[in-house]
Amino acid sequence: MTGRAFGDLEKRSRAINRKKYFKIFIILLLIFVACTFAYIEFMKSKQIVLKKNIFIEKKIPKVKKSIINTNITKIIKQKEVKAKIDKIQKYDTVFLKPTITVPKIEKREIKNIKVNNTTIKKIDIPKIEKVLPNIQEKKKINITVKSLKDEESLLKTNKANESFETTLKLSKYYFEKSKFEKAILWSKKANHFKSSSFEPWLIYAKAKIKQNKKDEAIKAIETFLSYYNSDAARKFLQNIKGQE
Amino acid sequence: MRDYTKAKEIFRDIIDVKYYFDSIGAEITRYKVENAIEERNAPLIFLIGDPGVGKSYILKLISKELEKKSRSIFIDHPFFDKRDLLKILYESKNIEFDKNINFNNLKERLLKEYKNDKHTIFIDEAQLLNEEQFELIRILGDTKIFQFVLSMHKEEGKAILNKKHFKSRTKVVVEYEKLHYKEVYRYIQSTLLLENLGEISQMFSLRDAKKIAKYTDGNFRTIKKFIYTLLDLLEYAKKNGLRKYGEINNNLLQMSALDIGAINDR
Repeated sequence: MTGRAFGDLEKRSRAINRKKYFKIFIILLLIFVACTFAYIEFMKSKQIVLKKNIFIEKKIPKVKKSIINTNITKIIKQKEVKAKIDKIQKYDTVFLKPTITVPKIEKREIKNIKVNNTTIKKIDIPKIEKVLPNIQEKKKINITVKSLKDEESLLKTNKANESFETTLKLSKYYFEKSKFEKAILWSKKANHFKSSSFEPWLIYAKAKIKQNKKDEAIKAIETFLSYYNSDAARKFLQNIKGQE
Repeated sequence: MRDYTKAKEIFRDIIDVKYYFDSIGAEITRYKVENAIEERNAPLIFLIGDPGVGKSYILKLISKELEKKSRSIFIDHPFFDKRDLLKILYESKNIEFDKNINFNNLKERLLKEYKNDKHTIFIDEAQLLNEEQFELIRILGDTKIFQFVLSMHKEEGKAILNKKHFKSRTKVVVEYEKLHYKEVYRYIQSTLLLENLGEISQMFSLRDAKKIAKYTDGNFRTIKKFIYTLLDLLEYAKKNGLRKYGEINNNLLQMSALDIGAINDR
């Protein structure tokens, strides 16, 4: 063996070792990258599942029993009001926009009630006393409409500046002309401007009576009286009822 | 004292029956061949195996043992002419060989001379024989006077065996296998200890033997070449004071493999 040959073999052996270690390094690196990637994917999928669970949990939060009871009474009250509104709508008086002032609830009593061997705290909401505003018709709007020209001018005036007066005039005009459907329509419009005035209601009720819908007329006046205190309305109602 | 020069000589690529290694494969092969020779049922015995596994060793060993009984002739190289075989047989009996005599007459006389003296003829590297020579071997084998033990490479041997001359004939085929790494270890240890080179034998571990078997693929000739090269490198390192290579390590083994061509790094 010569020195040169030995040196050459040594070099070649070192080169082979370098390649071998490099291959091992690359393989380890690839394994590491693959494991890291797999771990990240696993964590991602875990987070999605967690988020889903949180989302579901948020949708159905835990609520105390006392709050549930309060909510139930609220729901019942809302249902009652809704039923009333539906009633009104049934009789075509949906244009009513009553304004009721609700007195402040100063004191709430908390009671412990036993239901099926479990104690529930019930919050008593005191009854709201209705305070109906008094309606006093101060000014009556007199209208005497003579001809078709009047109708056109009324419509023109209303179009230029729609108001309670113009719509009420139109309602009365059509009532006198025995155009009851139009009279009802314009009375509703007048009511939009001033729901506390009995006049549009009166025209409405009279038009309904003319259409042989007395029941609807009675219901309308009764509804008005449930919101407003009006002698004129009461008298009119008595008259209608008396005629039965 | 590590005598690397002496150790190297043991592992030279020569067939010396003194260093015959009785591996399991070798012993099985030897047993089968000797048995076939003894029974004389098959006139042709084929010993096939990869180049360098140790077929020549076995052939020479068995031939030497039969020589004591004056019954064997060993031909370590193939002959170019079919008359060459007859010439060898004539010379073996100290009979004058006249090449001008007709071939058939030569053959007839030969058979007469050997009639009561059955011989076994060992031919190494028999894959190099041509068709004509194989035909003569077949004819002589059919006389039952001569028995042939043919050693050849595995690939060529299988092709020859498939030829019509031999396919239908009674024959014995012995396949020589490569060495297991544990046998490699035992071979190194026994061979070095045989020459009182115990200190060098202790340098080799079972792990080293495993690596050597892997590099050499268990081929006997390649193992010898490898160990020779390894010892040569150790000798150089010792002479030049390279302590890094004072003992057998992975680098030295790799360098030996590179030198004998067991690793291709080009």
